[in-house]
Order: sequence, then C-alpha cells, then structure tokens
Amino acid sequence: MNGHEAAHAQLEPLRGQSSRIHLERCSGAAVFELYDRSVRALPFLSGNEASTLIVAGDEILDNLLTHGEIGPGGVCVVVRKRTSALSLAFFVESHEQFAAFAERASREPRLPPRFDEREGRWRGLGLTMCANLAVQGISYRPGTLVDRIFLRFQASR
Amino acid sequence: MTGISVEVGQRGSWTVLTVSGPINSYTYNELQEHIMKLVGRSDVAVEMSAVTSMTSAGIGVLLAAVEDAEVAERRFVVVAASEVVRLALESTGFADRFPSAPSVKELPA
Repeated sequence: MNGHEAAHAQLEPLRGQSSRIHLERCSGAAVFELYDRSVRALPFLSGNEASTLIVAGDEILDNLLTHGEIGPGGVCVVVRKRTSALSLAFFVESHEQFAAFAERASREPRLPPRFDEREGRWRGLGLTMCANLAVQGISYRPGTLVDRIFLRFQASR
Repeated sequence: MTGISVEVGQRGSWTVLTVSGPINSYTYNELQEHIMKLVGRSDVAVEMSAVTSMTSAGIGVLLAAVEDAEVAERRFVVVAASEVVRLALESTGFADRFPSAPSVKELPA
C-alpha cells in the first residue's frame, strides 16, 4: 500500500468544547498524519487526552482503510469534551462489510487478542485496544447511508 | 510525515533501531523487515521516542519480535517509548510482555 498525498483535512470548531474534522480523499497513509495533527491542534484537549484519541482513532482509521472502503465523501470525525467524558465519533459512507462486522460485534462476545497460526498474525488486538481505551463504551452503528462509530473516554480531571 | 524512518546503530552487544514517524498498516512492513532481519542474530533495542502513532499493526510486529527473541535466546527491548506508543502498548493489556528501558544509555550490559 502506498501513501496518497492528496488527502486533506478540514477542522471546524463547533459549539462548546467540540470540533469536527473532515478527512477528505482518505486513501492512504497521509490520513493518519492529518488526523493526528488535527487532534493535536484542538485547544480543549490535554496532551494525554489527545494521545488517547490518536491511539484509538488511528486504530479505527486503520481498520476502515484496510478492512472496509471509504467513499468519496471521506471520513467525518467529531470530538466533544464534557465535564466527565470525552467522545469521538466517526461518520463514513455506509459499507456492507461494516454492517456485517457490527452485527458480529453485537452478537458475539469479544475474544481476547490471539495469534492466528494459519494467517501468521495477531487478531483482535485493535478491537481490544479501542475497548480498553474507550472505558465508557464503544458502539458500531451501521446505517443505510452513513456508518457510525462512537467511542467514549474518561476526560482528564 | 507519512512514512517511517529506521536507523540502525550499535551500542555494545545491542543493535539499536531508532524509529521515527507513524506505525500503521501502511508503514509496519518496513519496521518488520528491519526487526526480523536482526532479532534472531543479536540483542535488539528499538528506540521509539520519535514514533508519532502506532496501531495494532505495529504492536503485532513487536509481539512477534519478543517471541522470536525468546526462542533465539536473545534480548529484545523497547526503549524510550513515546506517549502514544506507551498508551498503545498498555491498551492491549500486554504491556508487561515488553521489556523496556528508559534510554539507550541505560540498556543492560
């Protein structure tokens, strides 16, 4: 896979301690840098909160890029900070693989990370990372037009 | 920076890989190639203070390296993990599997 330099990010402040990041032309490695840089630029996040959102968000983006398909509309990310919680939401053009994944995730218990001897790689690491970071919950919501992923974190005191 | 940079150096019996940039599905291959070339043949330290992000793709490489080093009776250490690397490792629940050192200067003899 090669990086795609045409990727582009727009950062839009919303009401209160909230911002929307629109990642456009999300076809390659440049997306991670754009997302990470945008999160670091949010003035209402502490350094530790930004790092947490970067680790969890990069994992979500990595999965969207490698297991799914991101349409021409790109990915919209909304970051909100409240007194006790920090939320991260991803909105992406709906994709049948995501619906199948969300259905499995709601039906099957989450397995701990394990090494797949047949494929020679670890499986379930990314889901475990997101679940452990988003201690207040993670949900996958497939839709007819837009798929949504919501993660809720503890805000720093 | 969309790619990673890996510099190879030597400190005593340790081969030191200094990695910088983001480690994800697009970049982990380069790290994997460097590590797998070395890990059975010498003690390997991976300096990660300039790693800007790391997904499970990179953690899978580090886990494999820890296991391969154990089989080969070599040492493998993560050095000076950046905040995102530390968070990523901790979030797997496997942080205790990764021997670590605060700096290259403080690697065991």
